[in-house]
Amino acid sequence: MSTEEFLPTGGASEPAQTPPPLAAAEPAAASPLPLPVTDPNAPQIIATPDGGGDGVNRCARCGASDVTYNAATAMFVCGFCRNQWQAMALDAAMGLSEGIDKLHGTVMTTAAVDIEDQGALVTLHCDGCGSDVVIDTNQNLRARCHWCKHELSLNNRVPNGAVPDGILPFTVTKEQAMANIAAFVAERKSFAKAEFSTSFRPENVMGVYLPHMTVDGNIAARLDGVGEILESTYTDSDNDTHYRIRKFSLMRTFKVAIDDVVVASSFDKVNIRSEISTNNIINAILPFDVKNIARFNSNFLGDTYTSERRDMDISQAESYAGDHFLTIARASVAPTLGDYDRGVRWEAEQVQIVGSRWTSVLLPVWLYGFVEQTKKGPVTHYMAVNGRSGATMGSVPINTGKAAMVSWSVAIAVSAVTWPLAIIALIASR
Amino acid sequence: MSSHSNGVGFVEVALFVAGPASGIFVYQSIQAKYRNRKARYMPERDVSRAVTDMAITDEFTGRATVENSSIAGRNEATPAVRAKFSKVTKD
Repeated sequence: MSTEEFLPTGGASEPAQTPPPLAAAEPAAASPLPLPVTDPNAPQIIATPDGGGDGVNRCARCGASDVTYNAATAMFVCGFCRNQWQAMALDAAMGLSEGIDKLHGTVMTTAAVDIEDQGALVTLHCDGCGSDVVIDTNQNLRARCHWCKHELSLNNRVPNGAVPDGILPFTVTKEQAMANIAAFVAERKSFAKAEFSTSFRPENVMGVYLPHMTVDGNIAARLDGVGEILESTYTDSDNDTHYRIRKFSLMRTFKVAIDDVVVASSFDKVNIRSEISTNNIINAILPFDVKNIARFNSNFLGDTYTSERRDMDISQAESYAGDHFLTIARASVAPTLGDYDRGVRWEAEQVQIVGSRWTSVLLPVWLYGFVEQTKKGPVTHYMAVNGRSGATMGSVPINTGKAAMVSWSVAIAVSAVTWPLAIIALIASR
Repeated sequence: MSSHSNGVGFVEVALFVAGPASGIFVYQSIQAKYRNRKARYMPERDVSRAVTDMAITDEFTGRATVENSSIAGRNEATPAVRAKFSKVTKD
């Protein structure tokens, strides 16, 4: 089987493409940080439309800063004059669904650039009264000025990566999330650990915006493997079946334009095989309707939701996106394998990322956590509800003693019937 | 009974194994339902994609007679499980 260096024709020789033009997007004039790009080999940065400025965000009609987001109408509402307005749809504004097959190199949006400072505290100047207000971006992206009570917001990129390009607002209410989680746990009561069952309170579910990257990929792929086709079968004198087959060496080369793979962008959550946290649960409530992502505005967070800060750069998230690209490449060849009724064994899979486009976003998750103390240390079990679709997944800690006892009981009960039969059959056969 | 003339047959072995196997099955079913360790994001199902320039090369390498009902190491239906050789490169 050939596993030589991957050199599919095409992608590598294509000329560099400029990123698609911004649709209805203005330069990030209000961005507080310059985004210098001097190295010609550096990643290309496409400017995210202006987020409305940091500090006091006023209603365009009356100037009040008391703005909330109404999930039912998908509109911002001024708490003073009841003026309503809609958030900007990021995908349409930036053309993020276009030109994927033309991507070359790494392209990223304004807020997806590398984190420059790990400090969580950001100081905002209140232009209502002139005082300085500190926001802990590990927890939230807005605060109320303690002097003049204006709402202060962080809406544009900050060096610590806390402010994303886009956000997908919650549409599933807390009541719906509580009902989903309660139903999920109710189906798993029999073998749940007693500490979990007694402390379970669905009302403790939290609405959290978790940091992710949406990634478009322009990839070239090559798969090498072996396939088998059945010709005939026969049974020998010992009643064993034999299969006459034809064997083939398989190779597939192709290109794929991938639209919006989602990758977690915090170290805490990205490893779905973690020994200390059931991160795969959060991973499993994907996908989200990322085409409906809005330009980030901290008024989406309101008082109900918290947000987690991104702490991974693209270079650190790339391997996870690459893994998803490999998975998609493998799935893409399934329609070409119809003749191989005995199956295919792929022995080599290779993906060449010709171009990728990264956008930093916050995605809505209702999260319930329980820490189980095990012999190996604490393990955090999550129950998660997709804040858009309501998809629910969870990990319930098991009373292993009870589960083992029931399993042993079943084994003994079945053996009590089958072992005498086996002994009789053994004697009869001699 | 379907057995070899001078050894323990399939049926006898199956009857001996049935008890322990059913216990293991129950325990693993509880683990699967409660812990959901295999739950994951499925980009192969959920992410839209456009495939182009598909080149197919299938070379006949020979005939054989085997005892397995399907190819050893079959993995075309498990795209998230990495192949023996796996590589991602950037242009």
